[in-house]
Amino acid sequence: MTLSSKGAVTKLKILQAAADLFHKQGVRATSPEKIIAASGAGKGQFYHYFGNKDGLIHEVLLGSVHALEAGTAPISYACDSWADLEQCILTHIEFQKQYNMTRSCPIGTVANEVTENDNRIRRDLDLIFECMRHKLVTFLVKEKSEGRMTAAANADEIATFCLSMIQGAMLLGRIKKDSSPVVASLEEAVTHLKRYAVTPRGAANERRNGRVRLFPKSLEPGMSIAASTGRARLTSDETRLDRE
Amino acid sequence: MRARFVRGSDTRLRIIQAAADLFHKQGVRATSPDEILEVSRAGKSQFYHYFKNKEGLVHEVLQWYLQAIKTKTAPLNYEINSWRDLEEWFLGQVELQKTFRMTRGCPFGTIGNEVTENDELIRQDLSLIFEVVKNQLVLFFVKEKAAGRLVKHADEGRAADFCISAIQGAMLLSKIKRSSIPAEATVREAMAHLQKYVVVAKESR
Repeated sequence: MTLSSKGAVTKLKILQAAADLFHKQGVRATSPEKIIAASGAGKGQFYHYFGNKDGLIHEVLLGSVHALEAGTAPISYACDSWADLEQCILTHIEFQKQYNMTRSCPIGTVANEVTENDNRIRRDLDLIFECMRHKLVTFLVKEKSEGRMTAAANADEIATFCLSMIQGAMLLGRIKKDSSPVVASLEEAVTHLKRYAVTPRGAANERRNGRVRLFPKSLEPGMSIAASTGRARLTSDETRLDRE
Repeated sequence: MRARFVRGSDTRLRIIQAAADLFHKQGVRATSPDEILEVSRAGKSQFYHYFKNKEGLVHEVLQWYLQAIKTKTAPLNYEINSWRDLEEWFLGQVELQKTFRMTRGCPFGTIGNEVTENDELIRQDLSLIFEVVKNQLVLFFVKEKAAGRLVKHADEGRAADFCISAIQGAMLLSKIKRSSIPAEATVREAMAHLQKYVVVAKESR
């Protein structure tokens, strides 16, 4: 189906209005009427483009998959360095603060509402989480193969852990209407991730001695990975542990 | 409150339990008072007598959960005295999820996810539940530290927040995957993180 440019604009407006309402109040609480009113589109256009609400939810979620793939999502999960990974995780705090802690993750919000009977939506959501996870796994596997991650680390599990922490932390932040549990949870998660980072030389030592070097030499305790690469985000808390 | 005659409080409890189950299964928004009445086999007038409205019922359901946690009658053990207990606290929630064939998340997370700016009372109820759970976790970490088994710089409050976030996210991902694998992976990583705060017994030199 080719859309006239005017039609394409209307369709996009509906999608954006729906995505925002789903994020704000969930899918269940959002009626087609509300979406139509918020988008300024006509009822006929709504049903013409999407058939029904389910069709619209599907398209909104597909939009997220495309945004993730194209790198236009509000948070990109593509990482090229450990600093990127840290940034990716901690950016969720800023994202949530924009909404005064009244919203959690847009994907997580829809995911939490899924019931046993929403199989199509559940599979769409699974695809989105897999997209995010895949980006993290890609990074971690590369780090491992280049000797910058401990050999014992499981890239798959670590990526899953990252997503769980992000989702859980944002949900908790929303319930508490407070960013501090989000900051605490995600900083703890970053501390954990950093333990898997090694310098290539460290990795060689590790192989030789059968022991794990937790931090690259450049990262003395008290300095975060981001700070060492000139992208300061955190100060020191998450590395305190290694002084022990 | 206690003086209610037995049959009345039976009905009240039946409505609360039916509502709790439906909220867990499909969320608050998707559950109508009629559906709750049908499952609990209660009358409409009883419903409105005990709860006034749906919001009142949600409040009572959350109070009921809170009581269960406080009186240790919840399906999960929140009193943590060892690392093993902590691991069981994590995995026990995944086991509960398995009893629903991984089609449901956490009952509190599910309701919490639906809270908007207009549900301030419900949000506060939920916030209290998470606070009680957090305090149980904090208590364990504080005890461990007092006994010299936890490094001094470990922050008990942050560690507790970390545990709650980990399990909430883990259950959500597992629900979407319909598999306990993501949850179990998350719990393994979370435990690995926490155990780095354990003081390694110094060997005699």
